Amino acid sequence: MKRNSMRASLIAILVVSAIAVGAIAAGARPKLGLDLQGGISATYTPVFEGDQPDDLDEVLAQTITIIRQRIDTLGVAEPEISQVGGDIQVQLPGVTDADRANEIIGRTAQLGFYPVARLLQPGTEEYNETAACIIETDQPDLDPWIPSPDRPAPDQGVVCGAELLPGLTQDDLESILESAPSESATEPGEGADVESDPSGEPTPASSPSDTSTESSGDGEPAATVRAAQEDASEAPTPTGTDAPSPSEDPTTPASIDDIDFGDGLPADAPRPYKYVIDPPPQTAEGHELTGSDIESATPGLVGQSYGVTLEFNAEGTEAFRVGTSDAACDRDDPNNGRPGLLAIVLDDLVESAPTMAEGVLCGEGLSSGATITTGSPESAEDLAVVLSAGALPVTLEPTTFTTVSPTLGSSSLRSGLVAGLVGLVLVALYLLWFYRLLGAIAIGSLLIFGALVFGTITLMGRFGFALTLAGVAGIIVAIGITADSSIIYFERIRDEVAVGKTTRLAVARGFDSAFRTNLAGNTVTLVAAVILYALALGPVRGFAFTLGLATLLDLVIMWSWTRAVVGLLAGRGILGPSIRRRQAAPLPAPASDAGGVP
Amino acid sequence: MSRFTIDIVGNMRRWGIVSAVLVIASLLALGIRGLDLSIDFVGGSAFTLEGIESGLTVAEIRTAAEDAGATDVRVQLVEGDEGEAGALVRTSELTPGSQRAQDVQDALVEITNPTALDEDFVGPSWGRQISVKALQALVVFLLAILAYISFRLQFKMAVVAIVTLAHDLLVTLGIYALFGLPFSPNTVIALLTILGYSLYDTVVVFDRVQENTAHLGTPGRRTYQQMVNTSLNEVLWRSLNTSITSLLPVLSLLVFGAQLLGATTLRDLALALSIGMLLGVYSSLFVAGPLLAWWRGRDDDMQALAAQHADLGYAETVAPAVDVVTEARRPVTSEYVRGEGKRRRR
Repeated sequence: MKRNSMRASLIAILVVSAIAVGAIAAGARPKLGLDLQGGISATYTPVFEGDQPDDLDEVLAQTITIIRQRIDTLGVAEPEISQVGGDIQVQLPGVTDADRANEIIGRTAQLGFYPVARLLQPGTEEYNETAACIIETDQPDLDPWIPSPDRPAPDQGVVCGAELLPGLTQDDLESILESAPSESATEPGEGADVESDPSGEPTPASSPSDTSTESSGDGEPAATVRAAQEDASEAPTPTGTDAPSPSEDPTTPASIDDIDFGDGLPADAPRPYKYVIDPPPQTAEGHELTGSDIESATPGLVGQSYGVTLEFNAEGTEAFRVGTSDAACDRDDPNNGRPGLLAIVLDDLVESAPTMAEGVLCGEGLSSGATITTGSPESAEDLAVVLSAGALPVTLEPTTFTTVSPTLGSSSLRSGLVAGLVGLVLVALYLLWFYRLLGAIAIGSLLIFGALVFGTITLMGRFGFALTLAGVAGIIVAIGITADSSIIYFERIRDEVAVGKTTRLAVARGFDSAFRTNLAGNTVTLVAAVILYALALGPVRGFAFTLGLATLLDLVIMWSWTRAVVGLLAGRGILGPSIRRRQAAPLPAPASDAGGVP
Repeated sequence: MSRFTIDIVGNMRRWGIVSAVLVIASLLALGIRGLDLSIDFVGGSAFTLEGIESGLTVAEIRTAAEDAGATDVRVQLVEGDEGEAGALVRTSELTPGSQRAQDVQDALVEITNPTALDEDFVGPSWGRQISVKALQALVVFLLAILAYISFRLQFKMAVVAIVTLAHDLLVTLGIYALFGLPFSPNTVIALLTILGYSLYDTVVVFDRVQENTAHLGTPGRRTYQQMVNTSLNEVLWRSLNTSITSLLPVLSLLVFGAQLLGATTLRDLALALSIGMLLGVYSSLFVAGPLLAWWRGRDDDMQALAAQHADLGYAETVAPAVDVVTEARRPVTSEYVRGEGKRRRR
């Protein structure tokens, strides 16, 4: 019965190890930390103007969202941005341009509202005159199109949209040529994106999100809701029903390949709109509306649709009223060619450009209770984050900033692996010399340990655990712990044999007490690892994790491998010589030992 | 049994003096020289220059950095991975992205012409934060261990284990201060690991003492001191072998990590671990054991046992001779066979 359980546990551990070895052979590799693959690791501390806000966590979460958006412009495959205590930790594997990374992350969010003068279609001449909005990256796991670092900024009078339109196809081009020779004011693709306002004017819309209306709650809340509703129901109106704008440029090329987009990208690249903007609306006293005038932006149900409710400070409220009023005038005047949009621009990208709802009147505008309807709850949340970014009273200051070149990372990894292997071989040789056959069993436990640790860490990599240099050190330290559990056991067996027990009895009894000792010792190490992991910062955690993992694996291996193999071999009587070797000669005769107390 | 035995407990005074000298020397070294704290604790900037032009001197690089506006510059020349030269430059804080940081970086690049440059910046508040965190971790750890050992073994053993630990920690820090070794967060990791090791060793020793305590009474043949001494000798081989097998990988880490530019993580860890492990095996045998024997031996029941022992005519305070040990262990054997549970609960 006992032998059966030994066989079962032995088979189990061997099967698990074989799976691990198989996975490694099949090419599975652990996820490497920054210090092993190169990249930038930085910690930023938020510095607040005035008092630290009560809802620090929320502010940090919003800041992280903003940073994440910005980091997309770096073309990083797996950026990790997380909150660590009151700080924000940013890990950018493979990024080497430290200055740009720091500039992009540490920059204060710039949110602004700009009246839109014209909307530019990709491919038109005017579109191509300004700098390109997007560039192509070669990162394999990434959306290949990211915002260009040299994209136009608001002070140049042109900004790019955040959302990419589907790329042009030959069919699109032909349908455009058939329906309307103009490219400057019509949609290239589906009409669903186009928003027509209640008066029936063509309003090439607007927003990356489904932002559709802006309506007043001022004095007549019922009107707000109704306006929003009407708009929502009219949203899917197809483009074709509206009269197209008069053509301005009749010399449209016939083939898609002939179009010069001026940015060096293929014709079917998804490009965003460009918005020609005017300076932000200002009050009579000259206060320009900026994102810092926003006091709150709350996502939620607006009437019967989802949207964001905005609160401004006094100056902001007045400037916003001016802005919405002007946009409403543009909307009501179809002849000036202005689309009547108010663009919300974050970090040089138009996040949303809402149209004015019916309730917003030319000459009056919105003086309070501004809401922006977006349609879905998700898009409302997204827009609220963008709007809140302008209100964040926070600048980020780097507290730690570390760059590791990829060459340094790989040479660190190499020397860590070499050190581990050499250590393993040395320990194996020593155990073999000192314990002979038992030593071979201990070497087996080290090999299983290696396979299981590697397998577990590779598996954990799937869930985001990255192996760092400190983690490698933790594993190397754990080699000693694994060897120790065998040593405690073997010494115990020798003790038992020395006081006259048979090998078989010594092996059985020895295991119980050795396992108890090992459990006590490993508990201490495990407690240390858990406390380190919970309390420490940075690289210490990687070390604590691998150390704790190795300690647990050690107990498993001692139970299922060492106990089983020693037990099974002892049953066959092959272990005797290697147990008795050291103290063989003067071993007291068993007979003299059996008599109890003399 | 041909095992050699050392009279560890009998020579208590000698080990006491050795440890006292070590501790006092460490305190003096810490007080006078202090620790060479890395930028992670005190804040600052560091540049790692790989593959720099050969023939540059420390002074040339330092002057270049100082001329560009860096203060408190310290330069260390290192040999890189494939024999090429490299340098580590430490300065006071240069905020990333600032003009001064750029100037210093440009100056360093100009004079050394490296193949790659890594920068490292730590703000002043960060260091304080991790120091506080490390101390917190230490206190929580010690309390947890005190509770665990008290529960698993004995309260006095727990206290002795922690005193032993403090001894190891203090002497390791003393060695760091004395030789001016760089003290980084990795050293802290290593120190915390040493605590684990030292405790592990001590727990293994005390576990055996506890086991043997059960057989102290009846024949009245051994005093507590002698029993502790026997226990220490019983685990001696285990301690030596474990230490050797633990040290081998760490030493290989030290050898392969030390040569590497920038991989200070490995070197810092391995150095502190090597020192701490050696201390750990010394202290678990020569500090923890004697201290426990002395303290627990002062208890009334153990005094009574010692008196009884003296009456029986065993006058020697040294460990019993080898054959006596064998005899003394005999009841251990017989009861061992009968059942573990009963024996342990005594």
